[in-house]
Amino acid sequence: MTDPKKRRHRSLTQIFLVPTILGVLSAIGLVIALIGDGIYDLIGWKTLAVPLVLAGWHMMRPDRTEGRRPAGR
Amino acid sequence: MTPKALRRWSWVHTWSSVVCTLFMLMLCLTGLPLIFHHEIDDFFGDEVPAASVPAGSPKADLDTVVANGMAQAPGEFLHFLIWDHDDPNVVFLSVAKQFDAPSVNNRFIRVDAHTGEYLDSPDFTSRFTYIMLKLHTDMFAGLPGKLFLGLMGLLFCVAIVSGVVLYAPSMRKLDFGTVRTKRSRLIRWLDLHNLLGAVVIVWALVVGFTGVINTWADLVLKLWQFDQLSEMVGPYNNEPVPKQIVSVQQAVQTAQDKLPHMTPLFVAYPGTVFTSTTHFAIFLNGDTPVTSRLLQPVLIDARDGRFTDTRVMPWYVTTLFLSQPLHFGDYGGMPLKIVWALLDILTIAVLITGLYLWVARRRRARAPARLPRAEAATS
Repeated sequence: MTDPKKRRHRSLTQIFLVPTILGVLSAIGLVIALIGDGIYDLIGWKTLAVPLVLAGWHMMRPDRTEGRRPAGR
Repeated sequence: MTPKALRRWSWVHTWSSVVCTLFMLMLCLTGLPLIFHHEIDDFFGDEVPAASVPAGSPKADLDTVVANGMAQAPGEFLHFLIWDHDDPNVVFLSVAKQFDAPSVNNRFIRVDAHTGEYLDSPDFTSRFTYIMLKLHTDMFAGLPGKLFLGLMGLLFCVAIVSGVVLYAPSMRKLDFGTVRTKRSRLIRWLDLHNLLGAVVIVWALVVGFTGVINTWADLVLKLWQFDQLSEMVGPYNNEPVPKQIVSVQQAVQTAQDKLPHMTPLFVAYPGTVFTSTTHFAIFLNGDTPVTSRLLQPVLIDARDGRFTDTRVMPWYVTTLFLSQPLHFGDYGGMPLKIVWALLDILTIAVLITGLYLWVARRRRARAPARLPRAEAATS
């Protein structure tokens, strides 16, 4: 696989930062609602809903990358 | 990552997904209404309501409950007495044509918990939610169907883990969440697949793996029978089912006295799968969100009503019990159910985009090589 290195590459930390935060939030949400009722349930589902909201926001956002790029990946 | 390692991970991700995708789609689609099965059953329910009584009214004697319920099932055998989880005014009797028949095809008789009067015996098997549940748990194929779906769930977990590995090379040049809508459908759907996959991953892994654990429930039960139950029963093992049994009210009272801080959930009659041939097993639970999932059996000798033993369930049963809420999403009220449903829908989107990527790339690979590869990807 050729690697043109024309564009700036993200590091693994950059790539996995947001997914890791979302994963940790999901895990916290899943467990916290199990621990108790009332406020625990509230925190639980709201935490678990953060990834959902973020996904919705990204899907609504207009594409800000360049359009068709010439050959070469 | 070396190109060789990348190709290997790519192979693992492709084939673990391709094999399980259609089953996972079925599981996600049937699981969606099951999240709301209480609400659906209530909506379509045409059950005879129990008498409305002030809170704290005394309950009817269980022997009366059983006698009145069984009067509607002459010649049939009582397997379980179950307090209705959703309606404290109702007790279910689970009955079968034979006392030693498997309990999976039992029918249910509803009895008023306060007046002790017979209410009705609804046929659950014709309900929409029952059909969804059967498709979801074993596709009407019994234990083999269950274990097969468990295997598909394991492949799903493999697909998720390998998907994480492939996420890195795929996102080297992109910010999180980028969806290149101006590009070809292949690129757009790849971006959506990556975005939604990254969003649902922990939830999908937890729900997927707890689902796999649930497919082992029958095996866990068998293990418990051989292991802890037989130890608890001790020398009484393999005695015939007694012809005369003591009052169930008395048995439940004895069990309640042993574990005063717990609530009885159901009674297994002698000879059924959850107990020995000579004991009532009364299963009780705690009252916190976690302890309410952890059942504890009390064995009462059905011949003389004496307390035999009670033990906390072993780790493998506890694991099964705790995996259930995490699979069902029924532990945080309606908002959590809605979040569960939305995450389920996003998982369906991940499955469909993934399936499309596989089909489209195969088609592209098979197409005559008149276009350079990269251009074919964007056309």
